[in-house]
Amino acid sequence: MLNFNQFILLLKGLQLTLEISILGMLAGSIIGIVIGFLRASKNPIIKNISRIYVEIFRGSPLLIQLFIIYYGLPILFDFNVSAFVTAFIAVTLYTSGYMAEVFKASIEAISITQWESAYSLGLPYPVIALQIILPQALKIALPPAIGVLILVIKDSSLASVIGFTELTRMSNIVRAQTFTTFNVYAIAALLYFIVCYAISRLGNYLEKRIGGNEIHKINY
Amino acid sequence: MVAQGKEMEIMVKARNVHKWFGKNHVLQGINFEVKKRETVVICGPSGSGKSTFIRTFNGLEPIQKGELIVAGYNVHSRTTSLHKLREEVGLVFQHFNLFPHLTVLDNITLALRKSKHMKKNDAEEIAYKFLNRVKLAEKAKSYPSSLSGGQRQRVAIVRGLAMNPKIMLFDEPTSALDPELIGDVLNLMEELSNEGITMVVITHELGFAERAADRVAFFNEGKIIEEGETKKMIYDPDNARTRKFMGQIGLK
Repeated sequence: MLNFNQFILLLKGLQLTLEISILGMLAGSIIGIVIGFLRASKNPIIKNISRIYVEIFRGSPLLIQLFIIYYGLPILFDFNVSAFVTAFIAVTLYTSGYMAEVFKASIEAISITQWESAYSLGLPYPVIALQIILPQALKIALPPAIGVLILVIKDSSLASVIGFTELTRMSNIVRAQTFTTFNVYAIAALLYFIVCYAISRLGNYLEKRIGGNEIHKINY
Repeated sequence: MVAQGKEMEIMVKARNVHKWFGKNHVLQGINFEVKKRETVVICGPSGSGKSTFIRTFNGLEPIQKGELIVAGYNVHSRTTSLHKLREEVGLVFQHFNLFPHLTVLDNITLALRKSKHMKKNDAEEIAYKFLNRVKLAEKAKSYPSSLSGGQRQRVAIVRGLAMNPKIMLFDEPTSALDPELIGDVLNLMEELSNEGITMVVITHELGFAERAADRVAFFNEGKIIEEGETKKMIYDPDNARTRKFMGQIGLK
């Protein structure tokens, strides 16, 4: 079995897993919001360029993105990037591809009449996007965003291969100390599960609270 | 100078306006004029293009051919600022289209602050003035979901009025309301008409038309097939199609 110190090590790994996932999710969501608005644009050029962005980052494995950034950045810019920064950039880009599609669908779920009445008041596009459409889109985006966050927490384990000591890599380290393969990975799996399950429950709770007034289904 | 002065008195001038949705020729050469302080009612069967027509007034629907001058702006011209035009043209929708995530007060002040760049206090002062007028000041901090349909539509109307537009457009403002809620909205519109606000109203409420409208224009299949003084249009129109329609919707 693991001793107490080894268990603490796993928790430290979990902490890094959560840090990279949440930071990547936040940064990826901000990029995703911008790309999502571009994806929902009527202009075919803007729509297609943003579509290419999504296809690239959603359509290639996170592991490959990690390798490209880990080995590519030092060649391009002649400096070494830490494992944390590499993992952060990769998780952010990967997440932004998914979140762009989540926000695109959420923006398109809002009635066109909201745009029309905002335009009719002479409001400029940035005000309409940020103050009229985005607050409503965020509510719609919440349940699928929770799904993406769970995906990111699990997929962030891939960052272990570039030497980022999140939960999975920490499990490898502890296993090497204890020679007890099954126990370590079982505990790591349980930690992943507890976190993802808690987030899932929190998502359900928020969905019920926020979705209570069914804002996008009724005319106002 | 005199001619120019007279020109200023014309709030809407449409000349040979055409619009197509794909192959569908929805506006087929419309000529229409509204003078300052006039109230004009537009009616006609659904799908006749009347709603599309007034949505061209603020550039919500582009036109493909013809000339359209609204509140002094050439709507069809590429150099026209649609933002400036839209500050001068209030549009009230059938389904209110309030912003559900903003309070009644913020619904009204947002455009004052972000389009007209007013200070928050000044914008709120104007909003309360109008909310008091429609007896909804106590709802200022409420969200639209807690208002009745009639209250929502009155908020939507004062949201437009607060911008101090040169002309107000109404696109079937009472069609989505329960019958018992229509009266408040129509009374408000009648008051506005009496105060000399220039209005174009799409409605089938002929009682309102009779009390408030200077003229009625009848739309059919993308054209204005008859236009005239209100009483004559309601009780004795010349065109057989108009007569049939007026007979069908009847006067309450």
